[in-house]
Amino acid sequence: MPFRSVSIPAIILFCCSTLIWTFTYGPAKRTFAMPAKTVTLHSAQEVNDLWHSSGVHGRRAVIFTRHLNKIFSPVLINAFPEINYLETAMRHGIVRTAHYIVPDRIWLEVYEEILANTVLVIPPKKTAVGFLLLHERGDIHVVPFSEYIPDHEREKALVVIEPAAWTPQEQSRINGFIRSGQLTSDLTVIIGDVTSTVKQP
Amino acid sequence: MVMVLILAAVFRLWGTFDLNEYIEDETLHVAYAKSLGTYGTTENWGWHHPQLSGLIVYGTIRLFGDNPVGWRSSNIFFGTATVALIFLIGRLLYPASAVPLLAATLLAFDPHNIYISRTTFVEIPVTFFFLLYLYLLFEYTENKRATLPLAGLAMGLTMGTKAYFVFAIPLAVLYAVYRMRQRGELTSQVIVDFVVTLLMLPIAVYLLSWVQWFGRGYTLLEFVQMKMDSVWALQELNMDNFPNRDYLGAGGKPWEWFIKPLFWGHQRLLSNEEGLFLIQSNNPFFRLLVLPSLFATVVYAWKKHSARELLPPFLFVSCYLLILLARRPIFSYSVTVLLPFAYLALARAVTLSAAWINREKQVYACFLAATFIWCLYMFPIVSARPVPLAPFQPIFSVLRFMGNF
Repeated sequence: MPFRSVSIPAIILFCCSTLIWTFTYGPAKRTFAMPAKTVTLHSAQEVNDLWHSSGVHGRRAVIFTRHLNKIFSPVLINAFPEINYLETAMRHGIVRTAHYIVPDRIWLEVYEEILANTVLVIPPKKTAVGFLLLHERGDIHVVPFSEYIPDHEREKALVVIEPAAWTPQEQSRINGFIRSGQLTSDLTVIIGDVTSTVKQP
Repeated sequence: MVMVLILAAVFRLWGTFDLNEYIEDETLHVAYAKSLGTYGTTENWGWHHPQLSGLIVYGTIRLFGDNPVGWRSSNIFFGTATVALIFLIGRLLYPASAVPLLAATLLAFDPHNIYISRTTFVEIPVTFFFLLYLYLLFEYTENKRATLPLAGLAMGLTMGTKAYFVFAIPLAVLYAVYRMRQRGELTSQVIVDFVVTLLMLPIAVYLLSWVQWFGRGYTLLEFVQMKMDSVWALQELNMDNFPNRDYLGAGGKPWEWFIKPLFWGHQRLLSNEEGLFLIQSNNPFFRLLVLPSLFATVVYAWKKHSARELLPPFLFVSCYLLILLARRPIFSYSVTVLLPFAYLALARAVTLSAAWINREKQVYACFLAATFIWCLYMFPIVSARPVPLAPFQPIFSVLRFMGNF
């Protein structure tokens, strides 16, 4: 091959650069809220607005709520979330993967709720600790609370907590994850009392 | 050949932009391309497919606007260029014969290939990239030209468009290795060249084709997990997952594609006597000859001990087996990726037959004329031109499915 002494090293260099790029480009495209904050909001619309206005992108979300997304619980009335805020965030590249942590006492209920949903093209994929929704715009790990161990401490997450869905003991454990640094977040949303403020679309 | 290429372009271009609405899966493809380009995310259950075709359509939409020119112009180019590539490949595999011209003519005037080239189907660019890879690889193996890095680039683009050629790609590499060994040129230096240009470079290009996906914050480890999940997800698909399953059935099961005549499509009646039609078919007059032709060419190649003659049938089988064995429903437009090898084999069988009866000129003239006349007849009803119904009643009477658009 003519110019082999140049072309082969050049191609090898290009390939090595590409390999490095696959590890660095994605993390470099993630954007975080500065400074880190915790806010109390009263609707999914407000969460949606906050995520969009904060300029966050390419993120993990950890969601401690009763319902994942309106798209999976379409009959929600006076409850969080009243809009498909997670679906929108994934569509717009804000969230790339989500962890939906479910109270153990409603685990079977949630599983059946999701299984019955016609939005899913294929059924959930079982994992060691729960199941995985292979969502069009990112995967959603659905895990019962007792099985959840934050294992992504090196990457700050967008955290959403709905205290009404948790017992005081469970809430205390969630707080422990955050205080101990097991679960780090730059933007934590606490869902306040929604019954009086959520406007149904 | 220049005339065939010009006519191929005319049949793919003429009136393609007149239909200012989505045709068939364009509604999925265009939404996918726009979402991919804008947010890096996919639409319509397209997350498990390679993303290069979406980027190409998004690029032409940015260039020409969100209109029929933006949606369809890339396939017109790739569809026409594929005709040129099959001619060039034919010339390398069957030098000093009529095979290149006959094969290129068959593809140029195939009504279904014309139909697919006038829309946004991904099968057109992926076939183009694979043929480009083959051509550049054969230029290296047959003519010793310095095209190996470009072949690797084209291989990466093929992988980045769709996974039809996962068996055919290594098969072509094996052929190249065999040819180098046959000539006593398979040195350690050549092996290094192969590894770098036909393994490392394509993988790098393939990874780069996921630029929008990586731009969403992912890393390579998440990419590997996503690919494993996508293999699992594809195996979970069944007929119930397709909202357009009537249409899925209309094109026939993969084993029927080269055995039964198949016609189906959509219509828009303008009156009791006139209408617009988008008819698809498996081009039965010619494609039903493919399997016997493959058999004849394999027997001939086997007798001649010619690996070069064996290659097109083997490439056909490698792609067809993937489709036949896939544990998921397959739409009939997937046949597009088989056509270059099917038509190379058919063209080879025609030249062998013509030589056998010693009527080469007459046979070629009849064959070329039949191809062209059939295309002229079918063109108005594959391209939504306003036509009277009467001349096409023979076709309409055998349709398996007719929807409205």
